[in-house]
Amino acid sequence: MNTRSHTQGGRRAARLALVSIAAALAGAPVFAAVSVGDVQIGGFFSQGYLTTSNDVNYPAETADGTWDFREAAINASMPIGSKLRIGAQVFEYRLGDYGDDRIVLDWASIDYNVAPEFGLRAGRVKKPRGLHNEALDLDLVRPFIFLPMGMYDPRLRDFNASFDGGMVYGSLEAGKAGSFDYKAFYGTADISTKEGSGVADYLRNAGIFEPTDADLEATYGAWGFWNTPVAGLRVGLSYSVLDSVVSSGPFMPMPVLEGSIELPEYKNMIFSVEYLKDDWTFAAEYGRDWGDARIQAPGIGLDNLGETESVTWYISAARRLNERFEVGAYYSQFSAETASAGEPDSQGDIALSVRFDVNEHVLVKLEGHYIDGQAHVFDTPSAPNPNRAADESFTLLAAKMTLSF
Amino acid sequence: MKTTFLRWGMLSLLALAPLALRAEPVLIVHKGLEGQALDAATVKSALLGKKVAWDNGTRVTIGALKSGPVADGALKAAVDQTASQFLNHWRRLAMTGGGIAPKSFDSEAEVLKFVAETPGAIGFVDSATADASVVVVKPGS
Repeated sequence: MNTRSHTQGGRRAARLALVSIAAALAGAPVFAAVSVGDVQIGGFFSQGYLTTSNDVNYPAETADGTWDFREAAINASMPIGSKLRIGAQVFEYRLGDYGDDRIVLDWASIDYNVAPEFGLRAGRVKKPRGLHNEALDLDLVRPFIFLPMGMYDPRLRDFNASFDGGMVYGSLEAGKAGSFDYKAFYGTADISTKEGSGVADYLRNAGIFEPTDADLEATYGAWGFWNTPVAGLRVGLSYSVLDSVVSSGPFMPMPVLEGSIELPEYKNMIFSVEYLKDDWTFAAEYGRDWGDARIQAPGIGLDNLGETESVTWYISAARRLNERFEVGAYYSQFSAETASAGEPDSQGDIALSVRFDVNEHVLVKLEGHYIDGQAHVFDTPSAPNPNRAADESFTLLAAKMTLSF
Repeated sequence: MKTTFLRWGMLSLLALAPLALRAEPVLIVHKGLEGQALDAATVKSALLGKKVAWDNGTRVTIGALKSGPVADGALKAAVDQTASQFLNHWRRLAMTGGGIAPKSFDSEAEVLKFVAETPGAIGFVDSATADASVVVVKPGS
């Protein structure tokens, strides 16, 4: 890992971002809304800064402060006839080492909306999971910089951002009972173990093997929300499965041997409630990830079958004060119920955010976190935390500016 | 006597002034949609991107005011959202492959022109702005 080149790259990007931002503030937006014929083009670019206290590196290498925190996307969509639509988005990000500014195809789909009750979408499709997964990269739509990371971990977007396959969706009217929105999907996804892969770091953090390859056979699931008769109140449940996740690489204690992990069915379930009332947005979610995990190192006869499970819940409130300002706060709790003895097994997070909309294309956010516990803190070369302690608290401060069109 | 008459006249005008200003946001649609079933549930479904085509086969296109009391009032009544929440709803859809966002306009005159010229278009303007170039949909029709 070439930390120096990353840092210099980060500074260059930060300078570019500042120039862009200055231009935007001067009334000459870098991005202008573009509509070419029927083609609608949108996108965003953000640059941020992160720093943490107590020598803790979270969610990336942040203890000394870092400008390596940015995202960019550009998308285009166009209708074909009255019910067909095509579109695509490319996306890149850097969060410390994660993302590596690598441009990826985030979504690219063809959508046929037969009727409000039934539609089909195929291609690379954003994965519906809870309230926020499809819009995880879109900080335009909320006051928060980081959503509760136990549930919406930006390091694991390779697992969760999108899949290659198909989805059916629709909305069913239920008269006085409100309406039901649903989505059901099946597909697969490439899991990268290249430099900058958050999923690889997640596997590396287990301390068993150095992942050099990873494969996912399929992912499938369903998502449903009931728009209740109470105006602004919706309640939802989503369930998804990562089917046959297999990863392997040099066994860390003896790198000449190979180690591997297999998750036959890694499941996620999220129960969600959201209530919009005037300028307020209240939300709460409870999520659980669980599944069997088989760890092997045939060279030494290691073949362990165990279970992995974690639970995250949060409550949040946000209020738009006026056209310029929005504030928000949440409390989240992450618990890894099968952490090894002596390892941190919980992490609480109190977050406070302020969003300032400079104009319709530029926004600035400031966010502070008080984090108690380190169960969700990695100890890897990308986020070194050799002194990770179960009960140690720390703070995370984040600032971010986003240009959008 | 003359002074008293003038005073009453002024007071009457002042009393009538709020009536003249009390225009309401109204739904306007392209003339090609005249006769379509446009009840509240249908309009809500179209505004939220769930209904993408009208029964006559034209695509739903939304002309939206960026902000202001007309936008707030209309969106509150039609989808029970503030203008900011409506914008976020569409940002989520448009940037995640879920739809094509409404066309945004700074003024009601621009919304009126867009709806008049675009088959399948709907929008909200103040009732005083609407004219014969579009069809004004009465609530509950």
